[in-house]
Amino acid sequence: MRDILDQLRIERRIALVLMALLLAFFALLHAVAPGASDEMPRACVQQDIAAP
Amino acid sequence: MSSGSSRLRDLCLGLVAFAWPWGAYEALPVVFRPVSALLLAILTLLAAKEAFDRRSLTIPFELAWPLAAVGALTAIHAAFVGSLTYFGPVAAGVIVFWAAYASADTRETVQRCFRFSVISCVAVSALSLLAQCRPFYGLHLYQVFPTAFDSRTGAVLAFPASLSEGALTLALGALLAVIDIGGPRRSWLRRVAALAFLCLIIAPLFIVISEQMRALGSWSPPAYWQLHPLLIAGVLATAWYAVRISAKLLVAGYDGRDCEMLLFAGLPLLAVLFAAAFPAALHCGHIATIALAARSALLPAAQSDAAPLRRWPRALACVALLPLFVWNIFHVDSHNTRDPRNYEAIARRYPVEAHPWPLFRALYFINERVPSERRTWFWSARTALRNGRLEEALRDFRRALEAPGGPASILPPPSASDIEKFLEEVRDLCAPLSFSERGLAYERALVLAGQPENALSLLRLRAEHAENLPFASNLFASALAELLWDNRLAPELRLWPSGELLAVLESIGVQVMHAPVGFPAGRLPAILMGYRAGKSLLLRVWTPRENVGVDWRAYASLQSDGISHHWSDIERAADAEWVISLLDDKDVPLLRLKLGEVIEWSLPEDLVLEGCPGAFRPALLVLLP
Repeated sequence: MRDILDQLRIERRIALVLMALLLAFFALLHAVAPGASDEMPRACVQQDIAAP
Repeated sequence: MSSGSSRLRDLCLGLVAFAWPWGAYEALPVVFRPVSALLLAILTLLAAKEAFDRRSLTIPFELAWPLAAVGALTAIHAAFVGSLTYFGPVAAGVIVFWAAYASADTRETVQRCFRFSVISCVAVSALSLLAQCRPFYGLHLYQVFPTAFDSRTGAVLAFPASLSEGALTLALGALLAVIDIGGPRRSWLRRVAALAFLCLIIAPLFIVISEQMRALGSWSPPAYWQLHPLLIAGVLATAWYAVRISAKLLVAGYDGRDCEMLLFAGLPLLAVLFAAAFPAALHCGHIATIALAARSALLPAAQSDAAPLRRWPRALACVALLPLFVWNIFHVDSHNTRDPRNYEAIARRYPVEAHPWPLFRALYFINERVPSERRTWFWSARTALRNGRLEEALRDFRRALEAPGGPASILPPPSASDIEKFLEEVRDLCAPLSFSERGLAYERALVLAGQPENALSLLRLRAEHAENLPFASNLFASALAELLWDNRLAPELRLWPSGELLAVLESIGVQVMHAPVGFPAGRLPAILMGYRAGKSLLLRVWTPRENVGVDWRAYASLQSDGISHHWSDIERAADAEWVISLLDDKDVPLLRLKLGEVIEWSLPEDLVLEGCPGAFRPALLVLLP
């Protein structure tokens, strides 16, 4: 019983560390992401279609 | 536990693992639901019966409470807001997780399921690689049309509903292949095969990632904090759940010296990292895979392979699903609104208030890959019409009717009832507009739809009280037929009095002016028409002496719809030489026409034409004596 409780405690600690890393990753993503732009990407502007 | 029920659950679980990576290709005919969803429903019923018999949910408390919390939070949110938008998928995810978790009884089952998923991932990777190919010298037989694409970058995948979902599927498949390479008790042949599978799975993933890097400037991770507080709590509980499963697997793997278990811990972490970076990337199959990984933490390591006799039913059942996948690869049902290749359903759902350009771009992308597809132009026309872009709508309607068509089409070409509906929409849009605002839009549509007599009757109404003119009708008839996009109408229009034809031209805002003194009488009346269409700058000149037609290929055109060009005043350049320019809406000269002994045209040296494709109204000038 004591072993199981110890194991659960270790699992919880590891999960807390992983959760902290995950939140940090999420924050980092938002910090570095350039963000969606309303401006049309240049690739579409250059796309053109032949007249029928 | 009855062995019959256990075998059935085992079979269902294996089939789910085999079917889910196929994404769009696992849709059942008629009902258009994925076969894995049906199997998961059966699996849920079997697991529920088993749980009832055992009086146990099979899932330990530390893995049960976050699952219950996520379900409860979204249920409370649904009750508050009165919408099932979030609760529906979350409840389905919770049930799928529990059903998959409770159904796996042994590590062999989990390993077998993962093996099936890897095989399917290899198959869809091969399809995605084929989808990278473009039509080659008109050969379309081998072509696999992608189910998910980004028209900006050209990244394609052939199986998922979205690129992010497909990338996660391939990433999980790659990790499962790595587990197969590194797992215990594997023959070297199997490890080599798993390595080959890994390379094949990674190839399309690598291509997609490298292509999507070009659109990095417009990427933004999902802003979960903008959700309702209850949903934010639900997202946090889900993230906790994923890391809790990983922690459990890490500890179990470390304690049992089980390298396979340690690698399993990567599955939920990978999924949660994807969910942090891309919205709506999770799929029921991903959840079932994570549930199987979580379950393996509490199962003893595999002792031996399953008895050979028990393998055949599963393998045969998987093979039985292949005809369904093959059928769906080469066939898109127009009634299946869930199929991501059904662009008609996507265009129908596209919000009216949203900017139409992403939809136009997607339709053009499809048409570029499948030039015989005519319905894309039809939907491009309808979208333009919905946004009040009459000229563009008519241009694309013309393409829908005149495109070559062919056997490689995704959806059938527009039907007679579709065309009738489009005509009604054009008529309704034109009704409140003046003649000069609507131009010849409705009449053109009628001509294109094969109803020229109706178009001519409507035009005649515009010229009821026209005065007769002392000119032949030929020139005016040719110009009007050109404007109606059908030169075959010219002979019939020549029977009309010239006054009526001029009245029709005047009704659409044609410039009419008298020639300056000294202009050669032999060239009067003269009609000049110039406009841009796509990459072309078109010029037509009709005089009693000549009939000149020029298509000058420009590079691009402007983005707006229905921009009118106009002609400048006519100026005398020399004794017998007259000059006139075609100007755009900002009075920038596009073309210079010299009317001397012969007609010459030139373009300004500094002319720069930039922008996206648009449709333009022709500039028409009638020069009378």
